[in-house]
Amino acid sequence: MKRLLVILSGALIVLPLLAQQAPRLQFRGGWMYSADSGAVTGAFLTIVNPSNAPDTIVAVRSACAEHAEIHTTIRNSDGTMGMRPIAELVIPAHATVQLRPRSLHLMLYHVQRTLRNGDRCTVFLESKRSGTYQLELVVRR
Amino acid sequence: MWVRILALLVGGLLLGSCDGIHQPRSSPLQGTDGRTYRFPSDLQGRVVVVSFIYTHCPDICRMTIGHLLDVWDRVGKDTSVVFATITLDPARDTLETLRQYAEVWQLPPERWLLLTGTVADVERVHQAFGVVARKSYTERLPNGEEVYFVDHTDAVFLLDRQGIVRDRREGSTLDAAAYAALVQRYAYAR
Repeated sequence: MKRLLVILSGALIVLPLLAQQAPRLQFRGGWMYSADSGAVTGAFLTIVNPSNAPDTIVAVRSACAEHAEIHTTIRNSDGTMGMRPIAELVIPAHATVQLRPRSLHLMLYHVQRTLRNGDRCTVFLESKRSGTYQLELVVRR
Repeated sequence: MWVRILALLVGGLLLGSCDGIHQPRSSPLQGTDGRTYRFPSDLQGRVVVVSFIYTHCPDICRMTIGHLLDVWDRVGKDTSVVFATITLDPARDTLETLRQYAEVWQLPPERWLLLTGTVADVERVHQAFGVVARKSYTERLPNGEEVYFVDHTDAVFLLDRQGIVRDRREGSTLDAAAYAALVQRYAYAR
């Protein structure tokens, strides 16, 4: 019984500490290109990790698209441009990662309604360490 | 007299040899205005801003179109200037798809043509401009649909009234103000 009390009191101390060790990611300037219903589009934002530990975006989904992925734009040796999906996006400790044109972006497939300049679209980013984030992105021309 | 002729020849060579292309060979393409064009020869007599995009491209092509819209805002009133955007992906970019794309982007319908055609004809136009477009990475979406990406040249071209390529530069990094000035220079050269 005494041992159980020790374990329980230890857990009460440790759990809040664990919670404190996972400060949440911060997001800035989210926007996306306009798109017709059924089309694809790209979304961009800045992710800041103020904590002492890296975090990883492991999944993306959107309320206004059937499917979403993280992509990066590449330049091939012959000068052509292309894009490729990436499975995870690591946000290093005390680092800022920019998803911006000609670079990292969110690829939204099958937009479910026409998105025009000024509209908003919800995107969910699931992180390995600090949970799921819900973000409102603004549509630009 | 001879000095003048020599100067004209050298000037012409400098402008015309920007990428080894002089007068691209023409092929039939269908425009979003419902007409069929021998492209680019049917547009001779006008200054033509030529770009290449595909509608499944969420990054490079959108940047190019965005910059070109800024160019249009500066030169669009000049009726001697035409914008022509050719698909890099004729298999997916039907006329209807291109019309919807133009509508969402609010591209001015009167002198901004989007063009597609048979795969063979579109590829001939790509070759005539030295543009590369090749299917690259393919993946299957959770709904079972197979999608592919296109690796492609990032370029816009400026044709003078004789249909000669006078400039080629990257589209996604285009400086709209500088490019508009270039377009106007060729538009004024009547």
